[in-house]
Amino acid sequence: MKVFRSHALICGGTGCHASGSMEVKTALEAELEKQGLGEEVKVVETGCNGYCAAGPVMVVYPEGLFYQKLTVEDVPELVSEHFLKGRPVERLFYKEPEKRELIPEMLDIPFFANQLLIVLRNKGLIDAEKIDEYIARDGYQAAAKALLEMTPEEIIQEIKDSGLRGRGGAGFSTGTKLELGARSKAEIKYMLCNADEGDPGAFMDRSVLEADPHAVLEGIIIAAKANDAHYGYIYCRAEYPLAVRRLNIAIEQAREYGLLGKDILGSGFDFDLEVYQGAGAFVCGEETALIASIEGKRGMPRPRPPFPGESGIFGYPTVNSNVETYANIPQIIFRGAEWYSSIGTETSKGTKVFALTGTVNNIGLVEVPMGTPLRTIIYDIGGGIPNKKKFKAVQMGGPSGGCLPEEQLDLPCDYESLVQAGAIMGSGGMIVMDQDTCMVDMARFFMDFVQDESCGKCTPCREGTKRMLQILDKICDGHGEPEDITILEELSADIKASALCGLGQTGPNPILSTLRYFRDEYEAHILEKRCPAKRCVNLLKFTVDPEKCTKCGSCFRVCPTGAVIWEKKQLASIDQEKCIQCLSCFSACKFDAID
Amino acid sequence: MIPCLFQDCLAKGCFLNGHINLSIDGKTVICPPGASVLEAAEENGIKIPTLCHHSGLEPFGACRLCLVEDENTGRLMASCVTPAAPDMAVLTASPRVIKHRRNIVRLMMAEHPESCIVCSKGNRCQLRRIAAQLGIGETGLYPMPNYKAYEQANPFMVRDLSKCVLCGKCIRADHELVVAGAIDYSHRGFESRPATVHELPLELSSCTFCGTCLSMCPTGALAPKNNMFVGTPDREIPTVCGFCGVGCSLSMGVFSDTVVEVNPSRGKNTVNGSTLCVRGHFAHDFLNVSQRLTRPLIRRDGQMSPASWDEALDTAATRFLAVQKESGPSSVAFLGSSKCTNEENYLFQKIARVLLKTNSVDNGGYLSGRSALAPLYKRTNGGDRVRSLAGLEKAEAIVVIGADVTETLPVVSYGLKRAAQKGTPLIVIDPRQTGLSAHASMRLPLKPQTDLELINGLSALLVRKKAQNAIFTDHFTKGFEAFKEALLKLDLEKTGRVTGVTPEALDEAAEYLRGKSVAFVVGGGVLEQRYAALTLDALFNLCLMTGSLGHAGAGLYVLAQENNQAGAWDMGTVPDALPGRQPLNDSLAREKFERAWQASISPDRGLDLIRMIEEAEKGNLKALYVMGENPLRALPQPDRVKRALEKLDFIVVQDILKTETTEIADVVLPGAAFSEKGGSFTNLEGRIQFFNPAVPPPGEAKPDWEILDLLARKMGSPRRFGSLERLRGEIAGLVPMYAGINEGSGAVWVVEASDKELFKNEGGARVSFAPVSSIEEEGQSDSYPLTVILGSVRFHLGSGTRTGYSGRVREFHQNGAVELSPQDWTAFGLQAGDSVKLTSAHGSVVRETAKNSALTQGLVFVPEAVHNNDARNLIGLFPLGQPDSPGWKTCPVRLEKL
Repeated sequence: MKVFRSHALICGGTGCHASGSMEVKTALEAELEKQGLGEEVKVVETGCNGYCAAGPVMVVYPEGLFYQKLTVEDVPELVSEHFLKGRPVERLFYKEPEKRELIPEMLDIPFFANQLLIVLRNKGLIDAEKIDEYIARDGYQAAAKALLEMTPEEIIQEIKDSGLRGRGGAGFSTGTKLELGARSKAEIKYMLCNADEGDPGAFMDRSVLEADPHAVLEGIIIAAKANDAHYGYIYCRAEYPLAVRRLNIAIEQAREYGLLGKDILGSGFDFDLEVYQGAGAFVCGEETALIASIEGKRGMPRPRPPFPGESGIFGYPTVNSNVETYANIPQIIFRGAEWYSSIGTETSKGTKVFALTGTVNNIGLVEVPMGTPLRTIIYDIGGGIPNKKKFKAVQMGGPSGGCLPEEQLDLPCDYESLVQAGAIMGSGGMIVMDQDTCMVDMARFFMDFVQDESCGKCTPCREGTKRMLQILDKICDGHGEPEDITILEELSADIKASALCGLGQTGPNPILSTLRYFRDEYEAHILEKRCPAKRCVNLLKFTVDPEKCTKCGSCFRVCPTGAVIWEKKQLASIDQEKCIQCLSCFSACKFDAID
Repeated sequence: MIPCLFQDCLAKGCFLNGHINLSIDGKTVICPPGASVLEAAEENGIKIPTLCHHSGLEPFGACRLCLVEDENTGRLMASCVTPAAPDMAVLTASPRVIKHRRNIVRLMMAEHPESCIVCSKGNRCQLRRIAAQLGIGETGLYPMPNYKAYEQANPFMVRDLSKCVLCGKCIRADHELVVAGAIDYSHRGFESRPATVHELPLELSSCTFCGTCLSMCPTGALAPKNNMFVGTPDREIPTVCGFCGVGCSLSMGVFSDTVVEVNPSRGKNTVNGSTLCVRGHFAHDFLNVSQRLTRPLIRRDGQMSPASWDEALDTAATRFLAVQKESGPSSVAFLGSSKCTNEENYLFQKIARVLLKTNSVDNGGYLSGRSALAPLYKRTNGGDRVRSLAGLEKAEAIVVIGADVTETLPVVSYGLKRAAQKGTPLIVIDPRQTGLSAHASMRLPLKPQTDLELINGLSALLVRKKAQNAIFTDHFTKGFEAFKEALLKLDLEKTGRVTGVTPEALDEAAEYLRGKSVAFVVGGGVLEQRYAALTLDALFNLCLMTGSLGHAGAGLYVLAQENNQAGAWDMGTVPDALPGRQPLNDSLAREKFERAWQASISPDRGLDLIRMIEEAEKGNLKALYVMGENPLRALPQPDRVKRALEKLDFIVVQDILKTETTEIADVVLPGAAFSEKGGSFTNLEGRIQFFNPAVPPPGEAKPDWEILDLLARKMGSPRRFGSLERLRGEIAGLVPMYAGINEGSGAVWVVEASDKELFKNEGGARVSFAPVSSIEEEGQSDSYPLTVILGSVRFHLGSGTRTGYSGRVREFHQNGAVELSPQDWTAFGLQAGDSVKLTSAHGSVVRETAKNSALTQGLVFVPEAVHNNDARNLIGLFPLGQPDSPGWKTCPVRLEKL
């Protein structure tokens, strides 16, 4: 094996791809070659590093130095300084936003320092397209143990003892699910991995698949052995081309290594699987709709029972779990249930991956032990709210979840606490909102999403969400009436009680939680025709504050309708007749003079 | 022991093993495991509102109106998809349930357009009914009508999806019942709707306009297109369809005294369940057309003029008796009807045999190949007669041979497609790609009229594979060894040459059938062809060899084109048998009837339909009585038939519509359509189905049995029957297989009375194998290089007399284009819209053309029934079922481009 002096791990996750990491990588390789270091420095494209906000990011080993926001232009300097002369390029280091001090090493950066990596343990460390790198990090040891040394009962017991619960949202005990599956003596059984991640702002599963696809495969293989299933599907949305590509590469390599297919590792156990690409319907994340989709039908949920465990894909018993759940299994088998269950809270064991996004400094992927307070995640890891704005709320669990206000920030993130507070763990989406977010508008956004993604099958979801959306539109447009809140509450109760599937049943949650914590905002919209966050344009009336106006005329120049009246060295004013509330002047004013 | 109220349980004599006890609204109920809460409630008379549930469809759980509460757990659940569980305490109308249910209905109502006043669903609208029951008038929500495109381009149905409540019944009926694949869900959320591919109009989709969806639609989203009547019928009356031999149960919607709508009946265990076909649903327009015969007519000085019943019947009776007296019984003949009732056909042949002393009685069933079936009937001695179509869905394998069922008997095709959908191997043997081909495991594309060679080849291959059912052949048959020897001698290479089917394809087919008990569905392609009788023999041999007899889902399913084809035969409207299919030359049988009828009966067979025409041509036949048939349109060489019949001294036509045949009649007697009279039809399964009038006959028209009853009296019968009951009483006494006809309502089965062991509980004779015959390869003549295949289109039945009177059927683009293979299309230099003239040895037709890329070179498909059924010009008026007859299914032609 060839030995290199230094390894440059460039993040190849979707986020860094988007910010240009591949161009940087190409340039880096060319520059290293040019400066004669091609044989000394190895450039590796890894899966998602997690710190997407700082992308493109690169970690250089053996030092463990972290470079962020790289551009192609930075490359020549980086090569000649760091790799040739051994002088780190400080201007590309991470800068602590408060104290403005530089933090050169990755593990010293708070974003990384406060995390505990189990599912993401290989993120940013290995080339996801090389099975050897996964194996070098103890990959497939657990599968070997499970297939060669353990009985299905032992595997199930180990997983049960670990306390692992489904990471897709519902939090059902994975061990129990496998136990139920194993009880079925059907001739054909299927394993199913739900990778149809569709919550707006959620990208945990995508990153796991991109960074460490073999961990997921290994988990499925172990679970398949426990369930005595011999074929499986990974249902991944087609909008994740990189994840699909890496999965397919991983499957190919696993087959080559005899880790998939007939007689895996000489254990006599056969298992193979394929990736099925979903066409982008959110509802296909619901397991019965997902199964219908795999069968070639329109992805529409059907009533349960029968549960997929009894009658799933093509009518055969099917064990279905989420990507992150499967990725936990190899570590549980490898390091033992005792170790795993020592992490987390009484009822929620292990870690949880969150996709931290919204108005937060460190947008990215975060893995923390269950029970970590929200404040730790948002402030310590996330770096707080940018631009000195105030935290307002965090939306947990996507459109099915709920929002939590500032007073709930010390809430420990575990299944039960979140539900009690009106949110859910969900699959791990965490959207942070600052003071500029209108909570009615936010509820409207999610209701619009749910209505758009409703499959149309059951009446409450199809009609009810449309009706609620219309009411929210009305409120945001300034036509809200006092009884609208009552109707919203009543419809929410109807839909929760009577909708067919999880999409509908949880659809009203964003409205209910905003009504619970931010009822005053609804009332301001309805009774005072005022949007406190100044988001609902139809409720805005712009005026110029003469105290703050510097007579600069920026507002005048951007106004598209001639509503701003201004002459040189004169105070500006706004003609309300002509104003279309386009916000141009509001954004253009640097002195907060327009309100 | 408490009886279980479930229908299934009652039938199985259930003793409550494993049954579930639960309480619904405080009442303790018992239901079998697997039953849903909704079913348990319904069986116990507790009504739960629902819009999406239908007993004929899989539970769906979409509308959520059937929400109930479990008092023990407080859980709300959709009762249609929740299995009943022990110790549930279900409340179907708790305050919580009512609150949510009301709100769901309010949402639906607020989304509904306000067009109830002009909605054809009228008071039958289930949404409106449920809203009424829940006391919802104004919804209290602002209206949010969900306007969607209104589609009414086709003549059969209107789709106003603004009124759609997305119950999904239409989509599920399409997928689960009729397997048409025309519609599915499209769009999402509030925009969701049932749609065709690319939202094409229905006529451009695979929709067959069977209307099954329309009858299930709970609102006015799907409605029949009817320019005559829009709204709620006064009453709905069950009856039996008068078109094909399936005998679907119908519900006739009647307003005032007019049939304004037809739907599948809601009866249980009917042939068709909730399905119908386009004819059954829409072609009953003929009942109300102005061409209906409403008063008796007599030809005076060459002109038809109205007459009283007395006068018309007197004329008919006197003239017939006079001709018979003058020229003898062989100068008169009676053509009965495969569309008229059993009672009418019985009376009809009795008049011929008793009052006119003639056995020259036939019926329209001749046209569908009855003569080829007679030998087979003899072979089984009348066993194997009763065969439920439902059995097809339990078959281990199905072979459809010479049957374009999606066009001829669509309701049978639904069952076949459902079976195929469930994975039953389905083999289609047909020279053309039929509607069923796409659902089939494979098609054997044989050359026309080579079915015999193919079936024998298949049998030989199975014998070579040692795939015969030895236990069966040992036990029930005789002559298997000889049969096997004969098969082993067959040259399979020759089979390939003659049939044009490759050895690989034949082998694949044999593999599908190996070790299975097989259902053979046999259609007109076999029954009306040259080797009809031999092919049926070969098929029956194959049934015997594979043990495909004696249980449901196996054996020969011989299709009947006409509604009472079987019954007319049973009732003796045939030249060689007495009622009960008792042979005329059986003296015991004859004596029985002679005693009962107090008349002597000639043992000599009379004239069949073709012989009647031939004898008329020769001048030997002088008088003909036609009831409910239109030979001038239905027979080959119509011009020749017309010339022959015009030679007759006297012709009486008793019918419901003005036809080509009534035009040449001397006396026309206006009869009643099936919806206007009582009676019974026997369908192709052997199910005798009774019906009562839905409306009175138009004008002075009378039920046909009444006309015959009056006529018989005028011809000298001592007394009238006067009622259907007395008629049925006589039939039941004389015809053992119709012992059940006294029942008079619902349905009874034909009683089988075979002496063969196979069809008896014990004892009896064995069934023998028929000799194996082989046919030679046929050359094509130079003067007629193409081969025409005549076939039906699903919009018409038979010759199209009745269906042709349906305005909706006529309006639906049916130019009756002849179809050519792409090769021939190119060879003749044809362009879209070109017309061609096809000429055979017997006549010609001029039609537009269409290219059919699935058609084999050299074949031309000519649709029947359209253009006054001029396709019949091409074939010769040869007898059917005779070894030397070329058959009516194909003929050689030449083509000229016009």
